Amino acid sequence: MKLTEIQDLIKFVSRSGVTEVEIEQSNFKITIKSDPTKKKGKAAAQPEAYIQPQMQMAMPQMAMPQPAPVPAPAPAAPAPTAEAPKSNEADKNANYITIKSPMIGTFYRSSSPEKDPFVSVGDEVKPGKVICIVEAMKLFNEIEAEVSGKIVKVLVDDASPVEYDQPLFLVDPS
Amino acid sequence: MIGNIIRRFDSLDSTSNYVATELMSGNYSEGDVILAHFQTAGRGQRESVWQSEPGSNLMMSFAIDITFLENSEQFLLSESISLGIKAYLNAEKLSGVWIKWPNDILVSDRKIGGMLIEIKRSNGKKWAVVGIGLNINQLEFSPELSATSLALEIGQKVMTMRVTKTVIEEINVWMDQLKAKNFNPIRTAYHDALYGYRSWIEFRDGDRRFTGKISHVDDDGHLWVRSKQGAINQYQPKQVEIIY
Repeated sequence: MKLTEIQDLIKFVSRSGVTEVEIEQSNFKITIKSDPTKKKGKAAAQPEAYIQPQMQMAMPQMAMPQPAPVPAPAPAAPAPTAEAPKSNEADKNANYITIKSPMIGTFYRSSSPEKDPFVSVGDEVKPGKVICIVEAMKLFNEIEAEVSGKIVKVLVDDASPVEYDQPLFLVDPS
Repeated sequence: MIGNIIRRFDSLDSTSNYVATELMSGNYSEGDVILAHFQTAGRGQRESVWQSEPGSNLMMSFAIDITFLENSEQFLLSESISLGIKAYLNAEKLSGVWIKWPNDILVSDRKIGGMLIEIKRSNGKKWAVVGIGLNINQLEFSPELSATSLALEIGQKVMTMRVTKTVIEEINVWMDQLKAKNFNPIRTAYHDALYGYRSWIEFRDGDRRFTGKISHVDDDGHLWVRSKQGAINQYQPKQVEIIY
C-alpha cells in the first residue's frame, strides 16, 4: 500500500464516523482507529494508524514496536547506584554491598579444612577474587567477588548450609 | 572432547591442582587430560584423602567449559562423568557396577572410584575441573575402606594407559549428550545406574538406620528416599549415608 493511499484512508476513516478500520493483505496489515470520545471537535478527530507487517505465517500479527511512551520521570531517590545493596540489610548497612550465594549448598571459607580462609574481615577484594566455595551436591563452586572493596563482615559460619540469595559477605566499597 | 592430548607425569601434588593452575595461567586447552602415577596431595572430597598406592591407580584430571550449564543444571555433569566411568566398567564385563549417590562408583558393593569436581568462574566463563580416581592395580585395601580395584575384580593386572583411554572414550559419549543438552537420557540412565534405586538398601540418617529405596534424585541432585515404612525424605549428601 502506498503512503498516499494510507493518507486517503485515514481521511476517509476520520470523516466516516467509524472508530476502527482494519485492512489485511498478504504481507501487510493496517489498523486505523479514531477516538470516539473526541469525535465532536473536527480537529481532534485525528485517527491513529498502526501498521503491522506480517512477520511469518505462523505469527501473523507481530505488533510493531510501540512508539516510546513519554519517559517516566527518573526516580528522585538520592543518587542510587547500581552497586547499592538491594537486600533487607540495606537499611542498616546502607553503604555496604552484600555478596549473596548464587546457589543452595554448603558454604566453605577455605579450599580445604587445613587451609587459610580465602578472605577475612579487613581484606581487600576485587572482581575475580575467589572469596568462598559453595558446595552443592559435591560440586565445589568457587565464588568470586563481583565488586571491589573491603570485607566488613562474614555473615555465615564455615561449613554451614546456605540458601539461594542468602547474604554471605558485607563489603565496604569506599 | 576430552583426551585429545594426554599429559602424563610421574608425580604431581594433585592432577586437579595442576589443571587449575594451567587453566588460570592460560596454558590449558579444553579437554587436555593430566595423568599422574603418583599424587603427593591427592584429594578426595574435602576431608577424605584418596588413598592410593604409587603407580597402581588411575588419577586424572581435565577441565571443560560448562558455561552452557545453568547453576541448577550442574549436577548433570556429575551424572555424565559417573555414567562414563560405569560404562567403562561394564565394558570390562564387570557386573554389579552401580553409582552410589551422588558420584561414587561401586563394584560388587565395594568402592572402585570417585570424582572431585570443582567449578571456577573466570572472565564470564564457567569451567569444571574434573578429577577422577579409579583403582586399577592396587591389590590390598584396608578392610574399613570397603574398596576394590579393577585388577581384583577381573583377576589380572591391567595397563593403566589403556584403561585411561577407554574411560575417556566412554566419558566423551556422555559429555556429547551433555553438550547437546540431551538432559533426559542422562537423567534416566543415571537413575537406572543408581545403587538402591531398584532394590532395598540401608541408609543412616544421624543415629537412625533404616531400610529404604531411592525414590528419585531431583534436578538439583537431592536424594529422595522412601523408607520401607513409606516415609519419604529429601537429603543432601552429608545428611544421609548410604551403607554398602
